[in-house]
Amino acid sequence: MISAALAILETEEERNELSEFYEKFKHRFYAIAFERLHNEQDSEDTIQETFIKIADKPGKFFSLSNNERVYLVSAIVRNVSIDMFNKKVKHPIEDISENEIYLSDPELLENSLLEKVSYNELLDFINNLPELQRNVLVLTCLTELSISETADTLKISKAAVNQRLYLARKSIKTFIERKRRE
Amino acid sequence: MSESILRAVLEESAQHEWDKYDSAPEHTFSRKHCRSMKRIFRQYDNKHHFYGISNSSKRIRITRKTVLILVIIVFLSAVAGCTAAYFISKSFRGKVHSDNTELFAINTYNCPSFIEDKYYLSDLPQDFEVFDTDSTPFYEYTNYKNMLMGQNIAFRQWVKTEYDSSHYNTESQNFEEIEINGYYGICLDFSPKGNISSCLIWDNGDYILELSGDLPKNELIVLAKTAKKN
Repeated sequence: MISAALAILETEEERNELSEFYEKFKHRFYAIAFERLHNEQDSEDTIQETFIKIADKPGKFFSLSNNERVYLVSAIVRNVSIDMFNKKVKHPIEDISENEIYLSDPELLENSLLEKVSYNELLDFINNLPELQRNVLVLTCLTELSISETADTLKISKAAVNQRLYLARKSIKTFIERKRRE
Repeated sequence: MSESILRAVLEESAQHEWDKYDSAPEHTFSRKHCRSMKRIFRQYDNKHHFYGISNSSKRIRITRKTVLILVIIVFLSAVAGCTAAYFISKSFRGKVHSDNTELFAINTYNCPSFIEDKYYLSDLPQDFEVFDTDSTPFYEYTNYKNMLMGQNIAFRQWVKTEYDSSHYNTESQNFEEIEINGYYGICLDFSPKGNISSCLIWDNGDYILELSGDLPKNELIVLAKTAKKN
């Protein structure tokens, strides 16, 4: 009985925490979605879909710090908005075959390479990376989701996650090498 | 500087992106949206609470005793003349027939639709070797055999949506609730009837795994805990 009561308290606490998080940031999430969709109904649907995803597998969300939660939820809102927009304009993102292997290669951005460019230059470049690539970088590097978790969160295949990670890291590498030559 | 610089830059980039919406105008959300959000949070309670889907150790605990009593009641009522009765555990619901129970996975939402990660037993008992395998996009089967002792161990993995309607012999034994690496499942122990054998079925979040073999229940549970992704 005591453990059942504790479970009720804990679940209520989590539900309240999730609900408070939503209440606190709902206008910002709406703005992120609206900026991409330009439609009130679709933007609200995006927020609903995002929180359904979080409520479905809440473990990761509750294991993160407040800032990381914001990054995670923003990334999901952005991704759901982009998906919805692409569906509406009938411009689906090219599906990646599971057979195409883009293993995220940590050696692609070896430490020595990162030392060749200034912090601000790298920041500028990352700010301008394609949104879908930046999304997977944020989810894997900042919120430390695995490839499977990222694929699950973004509702894309693991091959697509690997491909975006690969492309993002490759672009950063190319940028740094170009800077080094200048 | 090291790879951690990438994380720092990404964090600043994400914070910069987030700050852009700091002064986002207040939107008046539609009533439909507010109702939907309330429903999502309400369902969070029901889902993660009642069925204990979350991994937290403080989730509601249906004790083994409770499950046994429930199963006995259901079984007796089935014997008493009902053609079929039902029971529910944390991960499975079952339709009890006179000599077997048909199991169904409770939570199939958002589970893989084909086998993406294949599981294997990482610490097999001594002298067991792979004897037979079978594989489809939805099902994996490996049979291990100890030739010296004539013992078998069968390890099966299903995509959850393909698992439904699996029948287990419950003519003279009852299910017990078990926990494998934080995931709930059920167990049939045939050992009291003379043959040392048992069967475990558990939902590991993504797939339904079944381990059965000529080993006592406790040894099989220890073995089940070694199941890992390939």
